[in-house]
Amino acid sequence: MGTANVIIFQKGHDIAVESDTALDVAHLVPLEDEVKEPLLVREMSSYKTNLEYKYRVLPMHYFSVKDALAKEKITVKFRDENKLSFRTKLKVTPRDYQAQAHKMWVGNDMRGVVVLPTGTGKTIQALIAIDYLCENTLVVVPTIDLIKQWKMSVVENLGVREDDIGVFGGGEHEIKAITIITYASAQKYISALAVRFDLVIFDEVHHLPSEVYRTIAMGLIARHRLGLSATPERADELHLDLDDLIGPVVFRKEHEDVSSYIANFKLEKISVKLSDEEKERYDENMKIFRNFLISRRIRFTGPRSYSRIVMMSGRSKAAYDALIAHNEARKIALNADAKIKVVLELLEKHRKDKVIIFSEYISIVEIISKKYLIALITSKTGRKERETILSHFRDGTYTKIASGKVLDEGIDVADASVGIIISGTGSKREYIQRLGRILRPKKDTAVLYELVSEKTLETKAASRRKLKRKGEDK
Amino acid sequence: MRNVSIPVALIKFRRKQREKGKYIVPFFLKDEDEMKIEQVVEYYDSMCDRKIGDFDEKRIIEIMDDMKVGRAVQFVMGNFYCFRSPDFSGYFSSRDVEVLDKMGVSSAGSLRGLLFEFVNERYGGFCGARDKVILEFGDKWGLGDGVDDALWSDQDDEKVLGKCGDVKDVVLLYNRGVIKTLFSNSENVSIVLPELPGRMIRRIYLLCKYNGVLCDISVEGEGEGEGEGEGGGGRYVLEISGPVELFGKPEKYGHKIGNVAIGIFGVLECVEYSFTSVVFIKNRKYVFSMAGEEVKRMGLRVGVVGAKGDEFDSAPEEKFFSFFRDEKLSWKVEREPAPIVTDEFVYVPDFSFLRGNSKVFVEIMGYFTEYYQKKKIWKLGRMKEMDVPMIIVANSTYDEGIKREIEEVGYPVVYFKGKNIPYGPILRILEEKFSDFDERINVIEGEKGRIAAEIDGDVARAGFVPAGLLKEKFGCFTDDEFDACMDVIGVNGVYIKGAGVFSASKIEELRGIVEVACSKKRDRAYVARKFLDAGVDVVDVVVGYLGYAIKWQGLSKTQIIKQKKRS
Repeated sequence: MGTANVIIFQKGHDIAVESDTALDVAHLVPLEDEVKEPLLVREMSSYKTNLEYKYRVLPMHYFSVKDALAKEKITVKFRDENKLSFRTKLKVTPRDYQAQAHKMWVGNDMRGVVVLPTGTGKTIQALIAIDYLCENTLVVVPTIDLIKQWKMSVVENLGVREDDIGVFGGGEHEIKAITIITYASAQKYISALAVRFDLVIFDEVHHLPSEVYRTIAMGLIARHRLGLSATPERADELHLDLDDLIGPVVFRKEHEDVSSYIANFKLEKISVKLSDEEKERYDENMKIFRNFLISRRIRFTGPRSYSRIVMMSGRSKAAYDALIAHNEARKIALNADAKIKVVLELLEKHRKDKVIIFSEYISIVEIISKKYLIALITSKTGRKERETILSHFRDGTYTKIASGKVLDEGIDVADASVGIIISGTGSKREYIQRLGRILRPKKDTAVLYELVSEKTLETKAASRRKLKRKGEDK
Repeated sequence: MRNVSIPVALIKFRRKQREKGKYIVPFFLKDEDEMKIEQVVEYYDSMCDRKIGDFDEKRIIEIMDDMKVGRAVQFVMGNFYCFRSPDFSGYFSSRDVEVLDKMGVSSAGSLRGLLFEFVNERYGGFCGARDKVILEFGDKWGLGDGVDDALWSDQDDEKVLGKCGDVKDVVLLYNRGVIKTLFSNSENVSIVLPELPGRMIRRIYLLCKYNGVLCDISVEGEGEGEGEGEGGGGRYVLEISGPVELFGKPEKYGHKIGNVAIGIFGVLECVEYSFTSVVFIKNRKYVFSMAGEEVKRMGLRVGVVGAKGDEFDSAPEEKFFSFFRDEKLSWKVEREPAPIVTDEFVYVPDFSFLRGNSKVFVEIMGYFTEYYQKKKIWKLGRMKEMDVPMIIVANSTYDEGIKREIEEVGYPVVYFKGKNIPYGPILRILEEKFSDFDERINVIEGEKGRIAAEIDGDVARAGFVPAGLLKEKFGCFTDDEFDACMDVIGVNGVYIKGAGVFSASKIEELRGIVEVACSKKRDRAYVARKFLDAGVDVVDVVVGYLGYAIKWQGLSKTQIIKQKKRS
C-alpha cells in the first residue's frame, strides 16, 4: 500500500476509515461455511473528507485494522487509549485459582472468558483485571440490582471513590471512567460507549451471544475483554460465538475444584409419584408428542430437536399441537401435586431455617405462595415489592421465599441454608446458579433438595446433571 | 387509524422464484373473510368478564381455518379486547377500600406484604392451614370475605377479558399489520411513479426527516429540468433506506422505514405507483412488491405519519416565510417551489422569490448533522454548476471549515443566529445580484424616444401623469428603478420625484393654489382639496417643489409657509 493519508473517525455505530489510497487489509472475518468477509467494507455516502476511498469497520475489529495498517507502516490518528486518571488499590488478596485465572487471561492478550462456580469470587476476578490494566472500564451486568452490588464492591475492594464510578441503567445515565451498565442499556446506547473504554467486563457472559446483546461486544473498540460466568454454555449453542466476541475460555474451574472456598452442602434428590389423574394426562399428552415424532421421523435428541419442532410449529398445526402437548406434559411432570405436599413436609422440617424455593414455572411458585402464604418473587413482581421482600429476607423478617428464575443469577439474596428445587429443566446453568444461592461461606452445612417426578421427562433431565456430591436418594 | 405490528413468524405468505430473485406473496384478508371476523368478534364478546383460563385460543384458529392467520388475528384483536386484573372494588365494600387506602394498601402486592408479615410474625414464615390464617388476617384488619381473592387478584390466572375499544376495521388492521411488519423487516423500500408533483416531494422529504431515514429521489429515463415532475416520459424512483452502517442487522431501520413508507402511500393517494422492498425473514432475503392499486383496493387509505399541514422544518424557516409573506415587497416568497430535477437527483429548495421573470431560490441550512451538511453542500455545488440562482442562508454556529466550504460553492451567503434571519441583507442581495433591471432598462433606453413622446402626450392631455402609472408602464419594481428610468427617458414636462410628470400649465395652476393657501393662512387640507379638484392627488412633494412647506402646529393643525432660501 505504501504511504497513505488515512483518517479514522466514529460514524454512528461504525468506525469510518477514509484514505487517499485503496486499503487492502488482509485480515478477514470467517463466517459460517467458510464464507469470509473483509474487515473493511467500502461505502460511498460519506462526505466527511475528500479522500477517495471510504470504508466502514465494526468497532470490535478496529484494532485488527489498526494493527494491519501499522504493518504497512501506515499510522493513524484516533483517540483509542483511555487510561484511568486515578490509581486503584486492590484490597483483597486473590485466591490461588483467581491468580491463576488472571495469569491465563493476561497470557491470552487480556481477552477471554473465565468460568468459576457461583459464589467463588467472579466479581473479585474482575477487580483484579481492572487493577492490573488501569484502563477505563465498562462493566456490563444483567440486572439493575447487580449494578448496586458491583458499585459497592468496586468502592470497598478497589479503593475507587463513588464519584469516579458511573451508573447506567434504571433511570441513571452516567458515563465515567469506570461505568457499570445493564445489558439492556448498553445495547441501546452503544454508540455513546463505543470508543470510551479500553477494558470491558461482561458479568454472566452467557447472556452476551444473544441476537440482541451481541451488538454490545460488536459496538465497542475495547481491545481488552473479560467474560465471567458459572456456565457460559447455552442450549442454542450461541456460546460458540464468544470466541469472536470476547475470546476463548481461558480458565475454568468446576464446583469440586474450589470446594475449600465454599460451604459444604448436601444434595438430596426426592422422587415423587404422579397421581393417577396426573399420570393419565401426562401419558395422553406424551402420546400426541411421540406420534408426531414418529409421523415426521424425527429423532428427539435434545434442545436442537426441540428448536426444530418450534420452527415447524410456525407453519404446521400438527407441530404446534405436538409442542403444546409436550409443554403440557412437562408442566404436569414438573408441578405434580405430590411435590407440593413434599414442600410442606420440608418447610415443617426446616421451620427455623431460611429457605428459598425455586421453580422454572411461575405458575407453580404462585401455587406454593398461595397455598402456604409464602412471599413470592417472579419476573412479574414489581420492583418495589421485590426490594421489600429481599430486604425482609435479609433482615430475617421473612424466613421463607419462593422464586421463579429471576433470583437465579447474581443477586445477593443473603444466606439461605435450605434450597428446594420444585422443577428442574435439565439446564446445567440454572441448576448451578441455584446452588450458588446457598453456597456462601457460613457455619452450618447447607442442603439442596431436588424434587423429581418418577418415570417422566424430569427423571431423565435430573440424571443429565453432572454434579457429584455426597447425597442420598429418598 | 391504529398501527398494528404482527410478529413476522405469524405472517402467512407464499414464496415465488422469479428472475430477479425470491419473492414473497403475503396473504391478506379479503372482503369474503369479514364473516369469519364477525364470528371471532362474537366469540370475544361471549368471553368478556370470563377468566383468562376460560379463553380458548384454538377456537380462533378454527374460525379462521388457518393457524398462522388465526394467531395473527388474535394480535389484531388485542387492540379491542384485553385481559386485566380486577381492582379492589370488585372484592371489598367501599368502606373496606377506604380503610385499605388510608393504610397505603391499594394493590394486591401491598396487601400480600401485610399478609406475609402477619404469617411470619405468627407462623414462622409459612402455614399449612391457609383458610384459617387468611380469616384471621382478614379479621385483624376488619376486611370482608373478599380478602382471599383480592390477595391474588393481580395474578395472570385471575385476569378477566374486557373490551377496550370499538371493534372495527379488523380486516384493514390485519392487512396493514402485514405490510407494516414486512417493512419493519426490510432494509429499503423503492417506490416507482411516473409523476411527482413538487408539493408531494416536499411532504415526502419531511416525512423522512421526521422519521430519521434517508430518501433519495432519482430519475430514470428522460425527465430532467425544473418543473412539476411531469417531464418527458421518465419515471421517478423514491428510495427510502436507513443510513449506511455495518453495525446491526441490515433491517435495523425497518420500523422507521415502515412508518415512512406507509405515510408516503397516504401522500401518493391520487398518484399511480408501485413499490418493491427487500425483506429479511429468518436471515433470508426476499423481494416484496405490490402495485399501489392493490394497496388502495385493500382500503389502506392510511394517514400521513409524522408530517402535518403547514409544518416547517424549523423555527427560522417559519419566521422567514411569515416575514416575507406579510411585508409589502416587490419580491414574493413561495413555499414548496417546484423541485429541480437533475440526471442524478432531485433537489427541493426551501423557498423561492419571484419578481417579474426573476426567480431566486433560497436554501436555509439550519441544524444539520455534519453528514447532512456535506451532502447539502455537494448538491448546492451541482446547482451552481447548472447556474440555478440561489441564496444560501446558513447557521452562524457552523464551524469555520464548513462555512468556508459553503462560501466556496459561489452563492451569496447570509448567516443567521438562533431563530432570527437578517432580512435586510437578503433583500439587498436580491436587488444587487438577482435583479434583472439592467436588461429592462436597456429595453427602455432603446425605446426612450417613443416612450417620452407617449408620456408627453399623456401629460399634455391630462396635465399630470402620476408616478405610480408610469412605474407600471415601465415595469419598475422600486422607486430607485423608476428614477433611473426617468433619467434615461427625458420628458418635456416637469418631473417631480415621488409625484409624477406635470405640464407647465398644471404646475402654474398648483402654484397659484399654494400661494393663496400661504397668504390666507389656509391649512394642508385646503391645499389637498384644491389639488384634487385640479386632478392631482399628491400634496407634500409638490408643495415642497414649489418652494413651500407644510408646518405642523400640534397634532392636527397645519399651515402653509414659504421655505426659507438657504444661502
